[in-house]
Amino acid sequence: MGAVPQIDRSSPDMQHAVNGVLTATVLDGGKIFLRRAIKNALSPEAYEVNWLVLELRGVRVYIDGDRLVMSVQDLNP
Amino acid sequence: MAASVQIVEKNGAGGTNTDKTAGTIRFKNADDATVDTVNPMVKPGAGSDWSFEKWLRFKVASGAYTEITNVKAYTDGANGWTGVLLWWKAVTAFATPVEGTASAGYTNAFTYTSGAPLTLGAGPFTSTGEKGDHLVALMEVQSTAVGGILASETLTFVWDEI
Repeated sequence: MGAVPQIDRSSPDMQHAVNGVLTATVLDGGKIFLRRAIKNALSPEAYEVNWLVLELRGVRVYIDGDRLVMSVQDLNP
Repeated sequence: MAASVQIVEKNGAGGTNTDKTAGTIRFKNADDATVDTVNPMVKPGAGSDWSFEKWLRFKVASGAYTEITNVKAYTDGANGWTGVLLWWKAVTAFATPVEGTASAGYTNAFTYTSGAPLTLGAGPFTSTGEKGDHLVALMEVQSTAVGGILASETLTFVWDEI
């Protein structure tokens, strides 16, 4: 199972998150959350995917390790 | 520390939980969580053989988190079986699994994909325990099916967490 990124919400105006590869920061009232998934569920090949999602004014940045995707779409692992 | 999540199969009148996250569910003509060849689905000469319902649910087993939202499930969109169909529906309240008789009220599971998943609960959910709706799955074996134990299909459960 993959490591779960950590989010720091100590400041209401600025949120940080780390995923072991990079540190992400959102300002200006944006938000950070985890989009987590169990892939191949109900099988011995089950594994977790843990994305960091940064959202600001409807635009999202999906971060999986060192890969980033920016979109207004609601993407799933 | 994030939520530690399981996907459980529920059986019997009391909905006894069995953790199937990295296990297997076997569609059969009985209500149990055992993966064996007892009470198998039978390829019919005509019509369809219906499985007992499989009641699955998202469960937070442990861990610390603030809230969980948007619990959903989906397939890869490709039914790899011949003459075998898989039906899904979301149900709030548990009921003792029974043998299916028709697909009315269900939707073809393979229409639920990453771009159009089955919603199992918007939340927000907090604390541990079972969360959201049950995913009730039903298998239909048609006369065109190939006999024997079929290759597995898998699914994805996805949720948002802070």
